[in-house]
Amino acid sequence: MNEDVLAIDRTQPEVEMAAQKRLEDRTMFGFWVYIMTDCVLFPVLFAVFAVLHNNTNGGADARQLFSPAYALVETILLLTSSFTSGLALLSARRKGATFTVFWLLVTFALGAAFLGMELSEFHHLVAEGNSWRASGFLSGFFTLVSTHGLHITAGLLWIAVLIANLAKRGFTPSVMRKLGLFAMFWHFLDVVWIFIFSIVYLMGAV
Amino acid sequence: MDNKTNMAATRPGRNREFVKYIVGFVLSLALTLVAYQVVVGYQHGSLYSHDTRLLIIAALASTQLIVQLVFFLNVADEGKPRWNLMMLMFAGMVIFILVAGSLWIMHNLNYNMMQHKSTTQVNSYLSSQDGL
Repeated sequence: MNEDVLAIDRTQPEVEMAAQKRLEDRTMFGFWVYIMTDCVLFPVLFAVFAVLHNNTNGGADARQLFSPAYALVETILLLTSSFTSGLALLSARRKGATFTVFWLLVTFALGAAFLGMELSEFHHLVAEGNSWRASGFLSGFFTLVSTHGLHITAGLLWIAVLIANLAKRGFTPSVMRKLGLFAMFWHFLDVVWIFIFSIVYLMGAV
Repeated sequence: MDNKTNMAATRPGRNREFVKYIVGFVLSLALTLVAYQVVVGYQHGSLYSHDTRLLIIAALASTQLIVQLVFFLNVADEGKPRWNLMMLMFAGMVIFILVAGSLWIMHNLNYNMMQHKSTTQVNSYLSSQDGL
């Protein structure tokens, strides 16, 4: 991929622009294919949860363990961070370095708050003896929700790297491309969370 | 302000993108709150049955999926050939087969594996499933 960029004639800006655009389109599509495979992984975990959700082994069920209000706060945090990651991308396209870093930091803070709430919920569940070992229902729950949480953790690391990259190199084509990929990844994680919120927390409380 | 107008004049697409993000955010927030209200506001009356409420939540989640695909992930803006959309549809097909197939098979297994249950349990299960 990089050879394409190196091989082009740098004296002709329009040729370089076209090559950059091609590289960007190809990278975006490649990443989209990765996201679609993740998009298959999560529904499999949803199916496992749906099959196991009644198998509580005599223990507590979703209605007793989960609070829809708590999950609503998590949902709003993640939705807002998805929105601000988009604002970071738009600021970057306008070459506004301060705003880009500001929105990335806001995205990071909201994502970290979400992750903190999720870990706190896990901690309470385990402390009360409702760990993944308690029942099939809880195994399914922890597998599904923590897989999403792992993705969020990876996203938070990615934001940190992006900010460092941006500070070091400025708005190079490579940094812009990575920002676009990150925004796509983060939006996707919010889409997955909508279904966790709806299926695990809301349907569990109905 | 001067700077902003200048931006809008030179790059008309940028403002449209910003409006898209705002609309997507507001719609998603509204759909989330409505779904939450369907669950939490239930104690006040029995307007909807249990299954109806599950269906409403599923419908609201699917609507939000489409909203975010269009407004955040820009699926509709892609030029031809729409490879991203094709990948999405292929993933959708795989997901449908996996999820619907798993639930169907596991439900049937559950139905046919009742030996370990007591007669009362079997009777109540049959009456809830088949009305027998």
